[in-house]
Amino acid sequence: MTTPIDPTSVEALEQRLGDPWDDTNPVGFSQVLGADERGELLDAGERMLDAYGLGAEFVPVSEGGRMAGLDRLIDLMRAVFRRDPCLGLGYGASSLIAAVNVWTAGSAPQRRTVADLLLRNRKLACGYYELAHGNDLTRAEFEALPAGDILRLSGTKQVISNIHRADAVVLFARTQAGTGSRNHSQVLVDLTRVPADRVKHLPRFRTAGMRGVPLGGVTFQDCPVPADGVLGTPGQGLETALKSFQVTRVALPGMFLGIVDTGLRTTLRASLGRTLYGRTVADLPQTRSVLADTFADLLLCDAFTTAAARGVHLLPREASLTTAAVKYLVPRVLMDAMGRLSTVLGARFYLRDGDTAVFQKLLRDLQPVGFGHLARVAGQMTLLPQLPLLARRGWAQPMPAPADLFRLDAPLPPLPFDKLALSGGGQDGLTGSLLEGLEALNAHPTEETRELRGRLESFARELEVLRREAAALPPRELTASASPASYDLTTKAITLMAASACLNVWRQQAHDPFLGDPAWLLAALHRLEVWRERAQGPLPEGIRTRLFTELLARHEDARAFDLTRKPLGGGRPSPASTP
Amino acid sequence: MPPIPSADALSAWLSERIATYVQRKPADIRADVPLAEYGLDSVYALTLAGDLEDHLGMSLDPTLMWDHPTIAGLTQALLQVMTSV
Repeated sequence: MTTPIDPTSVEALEQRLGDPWDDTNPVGFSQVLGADERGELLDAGERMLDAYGLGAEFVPVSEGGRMAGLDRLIDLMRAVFRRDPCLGLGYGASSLIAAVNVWTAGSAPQRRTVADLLLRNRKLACGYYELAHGNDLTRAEFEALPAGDILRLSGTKQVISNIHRADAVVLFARTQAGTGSRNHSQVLVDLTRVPADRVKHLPRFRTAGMRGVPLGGVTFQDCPVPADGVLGTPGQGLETALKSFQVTRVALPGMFLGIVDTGLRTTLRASLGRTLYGRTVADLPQTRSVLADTFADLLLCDAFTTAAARGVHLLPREASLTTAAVKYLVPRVLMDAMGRLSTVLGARFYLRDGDTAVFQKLLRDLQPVGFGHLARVAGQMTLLPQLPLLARRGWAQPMPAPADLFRLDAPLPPLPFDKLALSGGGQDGLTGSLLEGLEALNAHPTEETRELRGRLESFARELEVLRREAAALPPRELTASASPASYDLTTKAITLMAASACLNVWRQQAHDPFLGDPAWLLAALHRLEVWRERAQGPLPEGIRTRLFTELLARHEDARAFDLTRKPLGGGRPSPASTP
Repeated sequence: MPPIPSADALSAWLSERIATYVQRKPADIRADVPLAEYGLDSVYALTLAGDLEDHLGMSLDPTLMWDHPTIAGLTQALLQVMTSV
């Protein structure tokens, strides 16, 4: 092959990342761990990502950048997270979280400013949260009150990644007093031009994980900034936030999946290199079972995030629903998977030195996936009030999503920031596709799909019960103070959406020797039932063996443990040293 | 499309819905007080928008309730939307 690879491709990024286990690689695990111990971002890593031009990936093509499909962005950032989650968050995702607000609500000049900043690989910070109010954004107290053609900034934001080194920040601020949903705005503030005597940086927060990511606070004291920094019309802040979250709350869990990919790889590598009771640890049935479970978890999570991410392009109206569902399910599955892997490593998951030292860092770095930039429960609270309308509309007359939602290689239209909506209007194409998929299987029943059809039939019956229960929910059960039983209905809805994503990714990849095999699908559906505590125990032996064989082949071939099966930097792995 | 209701009928329907939601009597819900004062949060607008869509047989932008946060204001805004269709 002499075709040069596209220098902006995931493959090119992987080549720059190189062999993680090579101690002489400036962005290998040894260096990553050294930076983590020092509480710093890996400088060589930041320079490498500058050279790759990662900032351009957060700028839409229409603004001169390379951001096209959300699935591509997740894929790229997953490669960074596989290597060093601190780089992933501290270099990349933090700027993305801020920039999405500008693409959603910013004027042409604001978009140009931010595009220019990111294309120069500068940092954009995002100041949303105040510790006193958590995810309750309507209570935010930080003020940006208008006075003529300026705004006066007053208040403190305690936890902002990169605030001390960002050129600009998007602040979520109260632009008028009072209750209601139109009192806040996002304000784009050029930090290189604010009067220095009105801005006070607070001491850096030390954190358990993501130690390299500089997390700081900032206090503005009656600080004048131009009023044209407001994104959209004054008062639009909550609306912009709720729309922007739809992009980030699917993108981030999709990126964080890379952490568990490396966690699984590290565990597998150590298990192959370690002998206990006369055989390698990887030969122990219990170990194989845990490793196969984790692989199935990754496929489940990737199918769900990929369908939801593609859905932002193809069914933007429903993105409030699907992305909230991803935010609730994927982080929990990923965290449980890492916890289980640590039991295979035994005492070594705890060591900060040696061949598996990266594991303890990954375990810590993974934690923000659950609470960072929207808590998991906020995902449920987004779904809950939509249930009655879903029961009356989309679940009563199901409409399937377009097949391209599940075709991994199908091209996508640009991200339709202007079509994001606060509510799905009762439509749910993902669940519609579950029923469509079942009908298609029942139309040509084969022995191979017998078990699958049985499982899907039970999901279809569950949808019917869910529809009746959701239709009967009294208004008080749609709020934050709803009973656990009502919250459980959201878990059911999320389960059905995730099942549909897996089923249809399998259907649409029928030509693929692995993804077209029902083994992984049955495994993913089993793991889904384990997630919601409807099932327990290992995968059936045949399926377990099929998955473990694929896992080993990918490990030896240095390929990703997700749907993409992409080749990783550094080629075939060197064996782990025997302790 | 169903006939356009009168302002009084629409206002009464809204009071009734909101009273049910916050578990009070409709008479306790004043038309000129921002709904947030009764404990209705921003998310409730989405639920109310769905109910209103079904009641009026038309589709609505849920932010209409954010822009018009009292029953009186919302009633006027809804009538305007309906007569301009």
